[in-house]
Amino acid sequence: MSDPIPVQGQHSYVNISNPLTLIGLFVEILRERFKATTPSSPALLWNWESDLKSTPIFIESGFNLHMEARNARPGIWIDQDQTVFLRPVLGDRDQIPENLPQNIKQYYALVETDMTVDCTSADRGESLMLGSVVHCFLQMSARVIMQWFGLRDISPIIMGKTIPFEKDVALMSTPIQFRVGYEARWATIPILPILQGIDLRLSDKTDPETYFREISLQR
Amino acid sequence: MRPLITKITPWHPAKVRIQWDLEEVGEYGTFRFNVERSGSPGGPWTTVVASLADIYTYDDLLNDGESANTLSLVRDIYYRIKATPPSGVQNAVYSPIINLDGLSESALSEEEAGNPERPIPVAQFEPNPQTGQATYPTSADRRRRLIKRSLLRNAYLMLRRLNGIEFVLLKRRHFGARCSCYEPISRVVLQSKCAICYGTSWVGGYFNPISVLGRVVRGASSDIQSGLSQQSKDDLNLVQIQTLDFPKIDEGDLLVARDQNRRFVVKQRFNTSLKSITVHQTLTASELSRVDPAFSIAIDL
Repeated sequence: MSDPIPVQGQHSYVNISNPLTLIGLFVEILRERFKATTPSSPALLWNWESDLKSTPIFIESGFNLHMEARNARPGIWIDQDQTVFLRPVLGDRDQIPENLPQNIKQYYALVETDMTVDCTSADRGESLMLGSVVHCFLQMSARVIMQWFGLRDISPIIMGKTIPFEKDVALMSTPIQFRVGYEARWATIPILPILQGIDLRLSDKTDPETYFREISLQR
Repeated sequence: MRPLITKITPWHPAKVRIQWDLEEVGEYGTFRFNVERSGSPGGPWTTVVASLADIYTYDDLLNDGESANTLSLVRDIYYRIKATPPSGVQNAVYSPIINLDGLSESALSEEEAGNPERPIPVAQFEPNPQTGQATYPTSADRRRRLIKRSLLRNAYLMLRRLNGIEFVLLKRRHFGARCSCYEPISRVVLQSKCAICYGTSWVGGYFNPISVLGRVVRGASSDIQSGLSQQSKDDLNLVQIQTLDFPKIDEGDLLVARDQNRRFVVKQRFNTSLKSITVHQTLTASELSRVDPAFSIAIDL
């Protein structure tokens, strides 16, 4: 098992195991699925193209501020919902290395992120069909995606009811929801000297601000 | 010879009764009539019945496979009569077009009513003011009819000379042949960017374009609101457009501002009336996104 890494072309600031990594990953996966060159039987009604002026379908990340096309539909919008760290894994030190000379301790934990994919269209039928394609594709490819992109788990994919939103004109949306689990690793470095430095600064009575703060804190 | 639909009575939802008459008849013999129907005064027209010999009433049962219906409050059907005199089809004449409300096709003139120096031409707004024949069967009262003529003429002149701009009206189809992207069992459209029906489910999507004059009452191009939605940034431009009373413009119809190629979908209509006389209609319309399939509808700009 490895960590999810940013897909090719993502910004260098998008770190390993970052929620943006996951969004980018599923945006790319779904774009690839809807490309004309990806075999489909029967052929899909929509083939994604990178040109916003001509693409029959938009596949983008959600709350998209910087896409130039407006009121775009039909579309597939990938976003993340809540992310939670489960308890850090403790126990066998063989599995959690510790650098004794530098007192650096390493940990890992499972992280779970809820993903949402909104399939939108001006028509209910199209929204539902898009949702169905995405739903089936993700469900049936989950094991392969997990293996290839270093994900720990992909929960069962849930497709919700198609509901309308009143915007400039009516917009139908079919939500797809699932949870992605992956591993996060980190290390703690010794921070006692840093804490001592903070205490020294606070106890410096030559600084009036510090003096009054001390009174207010009743130290 | 001038055929004229004198009365139209919709018996919702089963049938529409059309009654007509002939004026200024100059021939003797058997006259034949075709009843034609469309969802727009601009056509295309479907012949509902042909060669009715000396019959002046017809009940359109709306059951000819075209699925025409009056089931929605915002559905409108237009009729016209093609009258063929005994002398033959080369002399056939069409009646003015009329809708379910009894509103008739009319071309407004700039001539001044009641002034013999500037008469209203025959076949324009008032086909024959001398005989008092009502163009509008539902408003047979001569006084009301004249008030309406005056109000409409003033509104027309204001649009024509002062503040009107030219729109192309595309009446949305609500009957005809279903598109291949329509799923008939669950009655849904599977492709909103369909190049055949433009997401309407009906082949062609819209009836033939009609030119109408209108003015933007509220919401010019500077009133666009841009906001972030759950998907992307959306532009919202709700405008109010005022047009004359005919043709009736309903929810779902498209208006295209001819000079700028800005396209609007009508969301709501309300009429401005004076003493129950409809003077003009005010439409609330939403400007369409530049990636909307309606922009692929070919229009002569």
